Amino acid sequence: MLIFKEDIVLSGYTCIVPSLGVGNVSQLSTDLIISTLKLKQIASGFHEALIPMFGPSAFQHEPKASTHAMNAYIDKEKKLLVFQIRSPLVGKHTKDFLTKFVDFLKKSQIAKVVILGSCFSFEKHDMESSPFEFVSNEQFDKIAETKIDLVKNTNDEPVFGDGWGQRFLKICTASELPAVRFYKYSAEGDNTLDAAMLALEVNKFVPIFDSKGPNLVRPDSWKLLFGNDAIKSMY
Amino acid sequence: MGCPFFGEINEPNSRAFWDDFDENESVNTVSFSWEYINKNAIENQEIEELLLIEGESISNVVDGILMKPSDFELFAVLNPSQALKMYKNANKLICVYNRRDILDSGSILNEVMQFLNIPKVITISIHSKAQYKTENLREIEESFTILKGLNSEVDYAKELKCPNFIVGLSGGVISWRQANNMRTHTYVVYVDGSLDRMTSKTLTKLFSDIGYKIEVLSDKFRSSSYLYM
Repeated sequence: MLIFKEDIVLSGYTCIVPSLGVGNVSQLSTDLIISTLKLKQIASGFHEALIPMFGPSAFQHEPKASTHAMNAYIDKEKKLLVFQIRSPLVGKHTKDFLTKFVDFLKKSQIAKVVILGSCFSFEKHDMESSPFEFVSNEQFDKIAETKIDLVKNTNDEPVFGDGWGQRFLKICTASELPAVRFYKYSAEGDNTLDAAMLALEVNKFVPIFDSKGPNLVRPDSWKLLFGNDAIKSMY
Repeated sequence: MGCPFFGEINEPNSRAFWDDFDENESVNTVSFSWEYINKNAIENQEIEELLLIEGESISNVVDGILMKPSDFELFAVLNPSQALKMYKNANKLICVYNRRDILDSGSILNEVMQFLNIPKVITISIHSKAQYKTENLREIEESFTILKGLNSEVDYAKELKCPNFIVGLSGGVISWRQANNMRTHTYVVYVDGSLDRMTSKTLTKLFSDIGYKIEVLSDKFRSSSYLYM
């Protein structure tokens, strides 16, 4: 499933995984984490559930790297393993993909899994409260260093628009892998701000960056996020 | 997105979801399998080069401008519906993939992987010009077709730059070979609409310059215009 560029021991690492949700907030957020921390690409993923893709480097700090449907990045000092999944998952193969993915994380003795996500903003009825919510499993609660000061949901309540995050957490729980899922209520549009907010919110409870307010670096792949400018001959 | 009935709640969709699939519903999943017309054609043979050509209705075009039946032998097809055909000519393989449902690309890549461990692989994929992203709008305005490449062997195929990427079987082939430290020569042809006599000139020149003999056998281009009968 994963082809590594080098042998690496991932025991004790914190793993960040984006689940595909509304506005691709979690993927954009993951882009910001990789770009800001200048993480090193170490693996590419292949599975029938992933729509294959290839492109030039998505990040300015790794100009010679290339972009695949699924990539893994690490920071050895911080013991941080970040997956970027750029493809939507093909429905009929999703279960197999998620099961194999969790098996890999379990075998690698990952310390905890942080799942990023987003859900439909029209599902948010209490407009006064935080746009962020979280769900964690018992295994995570036992090892959590910081109390998470957000509304805690149960993983049984459906979260509409959060793709496969909920299922991924269930598989992690069944495999006794400590996991927490953060998601932001978002609406489709320019979701770059949602992405930055999600990364900074998660950083409050699971240390990712060196400070609480890092200067987030916008990656090269965010150029022309909404397509080309209109050509003049149109007018 | 409309609400045809009064009071109907029509939930907005998201660009994040492509595949509306319910695991609880039983569905007939498509499984791909090879049908070998002549397996001996490649057994115990040293294959040196694979050319993958991918696009919508591409096989008609390739048949028309490249395939001379006596030169290229069809040795395998990927079923169902012969979406992918493999031809052999001396020590070269040509794989022609009529792109249909992009969601099948991962499964088809799995089937094609057995042919990817060869010294030289070239991919050519045809995409819509609307997918090409650039800050230089002149590039889009001034030409019918845009040719881009990665590890290109021809100087007129300029490098494909971020944020562009190649999606589909070709993307998978390059991705898999790169992850296994193998180089792939890649060309992407962005065309306005479908390939026709004008837009295919770039493609025929490219075929010729990378060592494939061009012989226009028949006119198989689809007419995409309704202006004339």
